[in-house]
Amino acid sequence: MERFLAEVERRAFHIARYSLRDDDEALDAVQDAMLKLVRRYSSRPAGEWQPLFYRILGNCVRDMQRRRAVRNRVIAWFGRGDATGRERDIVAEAPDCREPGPEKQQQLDDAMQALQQAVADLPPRQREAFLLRQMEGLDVAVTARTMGCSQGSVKTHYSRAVHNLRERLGEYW
Amino acid sequence: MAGDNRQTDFEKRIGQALRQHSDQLDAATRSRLARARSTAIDELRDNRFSWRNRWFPLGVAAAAAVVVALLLSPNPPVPVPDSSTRIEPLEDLDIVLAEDSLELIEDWEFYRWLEDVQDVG
Repeated sequence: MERFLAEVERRAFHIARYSLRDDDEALDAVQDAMLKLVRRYSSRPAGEWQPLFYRILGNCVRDMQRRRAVRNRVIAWFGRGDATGRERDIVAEAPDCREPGPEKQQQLDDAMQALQQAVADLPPRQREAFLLRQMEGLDVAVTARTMGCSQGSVKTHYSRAVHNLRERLGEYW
Repeated sequence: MAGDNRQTDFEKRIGQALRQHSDQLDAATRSRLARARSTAIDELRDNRFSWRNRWFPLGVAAAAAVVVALLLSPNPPVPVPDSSTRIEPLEDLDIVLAEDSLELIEDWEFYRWLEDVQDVG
């Protein structure tokens, strides 16, 4: 179990962060998913852990998004703070991990940031299907089981995601 | 590409880029992820230990209760079998196996003759 968690934790963090656009909340979501997997499903065969984990993670992310929406409504009700629902700009807040180097490196970084932003801006189900398939390497059947939908739906979400990304990232990728 | 398991070059490129990027995390985030994993694994170990701890005393208590119940209980009443199905004890085994009985069987013809003679007489 520990090896499995160590193997997926980084990708899981990124997948959660694309949806939540907040490092702390993404870390909380990953930790919640780890705990729930361990508590409920550690006795299940190891081959089932990956879809179970990502299904739990998806639920944790949605719970956090719902809580955030409620919090924003409450804050808006009392007229305090910024409750316009404006989401943080992860590109602007992303740590600057660029090494000082040639112009080419700058272009690669720009392309990467554009990709991240484009993925983050995808509709939730498209993003989920795309990230599970591309980052986690799940096939269509396992992705469908993870997302709790049909394989046809996964194919639709995924192909729309790719279409959106291609339209937006054509100049970079 | 209709979303099946084949991928175009575009998909392969962005997929590879995303996977490579996912490995690049700052030390603080890596540390927090490791702590989260450690917390989950600790809980898994605690759960297994606590289940063992929970069942072992229960098993011992149950075994002790059975022993105490057996020691303290009065002799249980012996069920009386129905007379029709009662099996006679083997008290008469020695009679059955006595030598004279065997002689009786051996002299059966003699006693039959004796009985006939007495009837005639």
